[in-house]
Amino acid sequence: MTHRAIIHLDLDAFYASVEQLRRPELRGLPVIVGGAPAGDGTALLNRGVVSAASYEARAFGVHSAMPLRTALRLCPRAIVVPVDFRAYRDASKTVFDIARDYTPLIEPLSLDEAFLEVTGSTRLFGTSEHIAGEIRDRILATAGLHASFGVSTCKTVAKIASDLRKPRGFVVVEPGDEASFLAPLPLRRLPGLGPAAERALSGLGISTLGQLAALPLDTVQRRVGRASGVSLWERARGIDTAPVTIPGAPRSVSREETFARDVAQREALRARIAELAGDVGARLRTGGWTARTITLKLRYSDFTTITRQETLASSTATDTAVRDAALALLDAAWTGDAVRLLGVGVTGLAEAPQLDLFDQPVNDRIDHTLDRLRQRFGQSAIRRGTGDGLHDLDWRGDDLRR
Amino acid sequence: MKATVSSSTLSGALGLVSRAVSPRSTLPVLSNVLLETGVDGLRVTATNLDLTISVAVPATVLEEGRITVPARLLGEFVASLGDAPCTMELEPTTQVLKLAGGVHRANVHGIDAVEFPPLPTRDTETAIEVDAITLQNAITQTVMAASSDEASPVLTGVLLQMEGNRLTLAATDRHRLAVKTIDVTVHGAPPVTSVIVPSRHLSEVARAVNPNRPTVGIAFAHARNQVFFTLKDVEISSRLIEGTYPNYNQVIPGESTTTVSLSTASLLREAKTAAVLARDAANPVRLRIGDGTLTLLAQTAEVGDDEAPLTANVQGDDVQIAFNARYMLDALSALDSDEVQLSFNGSLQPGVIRPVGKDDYLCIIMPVRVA
Repeated sequence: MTHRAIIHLDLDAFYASVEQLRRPELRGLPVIVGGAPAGDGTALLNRGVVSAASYEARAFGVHSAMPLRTALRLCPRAIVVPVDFRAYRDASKTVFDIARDYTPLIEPLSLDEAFLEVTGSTRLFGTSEHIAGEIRDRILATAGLHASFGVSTCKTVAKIASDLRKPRGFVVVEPGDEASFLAPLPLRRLPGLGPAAERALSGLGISTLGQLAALPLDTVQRRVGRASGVSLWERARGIDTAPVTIPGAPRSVSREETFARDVAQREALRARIAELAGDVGARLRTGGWTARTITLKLRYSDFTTITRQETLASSTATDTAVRDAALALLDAAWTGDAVRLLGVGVTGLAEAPQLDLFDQPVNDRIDHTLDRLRQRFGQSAIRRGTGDGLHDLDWRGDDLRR
Repeated sequence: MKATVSSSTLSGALGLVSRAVSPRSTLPVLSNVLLETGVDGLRVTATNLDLTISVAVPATVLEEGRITVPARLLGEFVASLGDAPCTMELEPTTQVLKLAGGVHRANVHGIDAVEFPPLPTRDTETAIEVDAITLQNAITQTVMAASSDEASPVLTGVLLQMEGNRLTLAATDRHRLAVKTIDVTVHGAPPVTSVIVPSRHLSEVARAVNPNRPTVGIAFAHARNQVFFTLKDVEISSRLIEGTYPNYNQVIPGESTTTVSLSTASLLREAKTAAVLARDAANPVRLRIGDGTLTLLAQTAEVGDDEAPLTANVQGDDVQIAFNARYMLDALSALDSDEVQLSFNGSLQPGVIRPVGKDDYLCIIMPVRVA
């Protein structure tokens, strides 16, 4: 088999560039996008964070997710404009439509970033480098936007490449050069290698991807865990077989709730899990999906957050299966401390799910009846009993202080 | 050890036992086949400790003895000798087996037979006797529904249940269930009422059936948790799977709101064609039933779709239901009747496939939920 051809396209300072494009007076000035609109085209500055910053503003140390007040202290001359998602979505569509002229295999990561698989397009349009060049020129001509491109044989290398010379970067990593391209780069360049893994590896004196790639696999696994060890080690060598996937069904469904008052009673938590599981189940059934992995999320009063998951023998869309798995996870994971946030979720969603002979008829019918009743009379019209007499407890109120 | 055998007969026997050879075992002797000569001829045996297959081969025995030699090598060598008789003689000091056939004089290095694991022995007389072709059919009709997922070992087997003079075979992978009942002859009180036999091993029993082996005797060894199938010159013994088989009777629907009957062959043929366009994960093929017609519908986004109306005898409510095409094809291929009856209880309840005019077999398939 020949190698794949994958392009990572990343628009430069996207929101800010769109704003500068439609308000020419902002060009060349430090622009910060963020805050709620005040109604007169300006933004309310007392709240909110930086959603995006132009390169002129970034020069002052402004970056996204920074509180607006901090950003303005760093760059008092910055012009703050409110977020206008509609405009960004339109611009994004223009860009992705251009890309779609070259391949249908586009995996958007956000409005301003996408993977393009052009393996099958090279016969028609020339090399992947040539295709990326054409897309770059057409985006600039049509939308007036600059973008950075990474061209390689897998998603990991393409993404790192596009990020390397931003803005207006254009980095091509030829097949066979992936490992040598990655070798001198610092660990943090590798997507998915976070502070924890970096600390674990730096304990071994490892600071570059080349050094990581040179370690024996089991050493890496001992440091960062089995599964992520394999993934990090392979990708550090430029090995990444993850396909470019067109978005379709969601990958997960989850419901979570932050309590008005932290909860430390097992029964109350169990009752709430049953309700959240019911909501998750209903969402699965409306979408026509099933899921195999059930996740429980607990955030304690001190904000430490844990998630635990359990994979079932077969896919399910029934409330009780989701509930029972989540309850088992609660029993196994809960320390007994007060809980601030509780979440129940499912992943491993499958469309057109194969139903299970031994996990079906009764619950399925009850679930569908419940779904229909809730559709007609509202979410709280009917709930599954939890069997412990506590399901009718209104523990959002004062009942909990008994 | 010294004996002369027909190469083609030996080749057939080696082909049968080769299914029990472990080619990549940590125990080298398990890659070998055990050759034993005795008063009644040559016996060829292979085992992977779970499954043991042994075949008796008529031979002119000049000297009794035992040796193990690489199974694959011996199989290839003997097969290429054609019809020439093959003489084998063991050189006991070196454990080299001398093979003479046609113009060939071969020396094959063996492993001492004492290294070969002791073979399971039965502790009952033949308990059950059954017509070989009947059992072969029953095995073919059920093994396809057994699971291949080792995560639930019980479901990788076929349940054999004795009740009076009837033996019921049942297999399910949670998505489908196949149940077949056959008549058997029971000698004395049945020693056990139900056992779970690995489906792969049962397939070997079915494979061994031929016109020269008209009946199959079944015996057990309780202590060692083994079952033995004897087909004249062939003995196959298998480890049993321990565990509790799910109560499959509870998922067999009693009544149905829709029944359809039509020609098995035409439904099988058209479903095969429709399956070409059912390429999504669960290969869903839809059945739209009503108005004297069963329409097969297959559709895969960005690939294409297919629609095939078939005339059928439809009774009851209109229904639309989707099945994994593979499960449907497996069930239809396993049927031994000209006409098939399908029955349904709406689109989310299991569908039942039975032969028309027989009540000894049924296959139940759980649908795929489609939007």
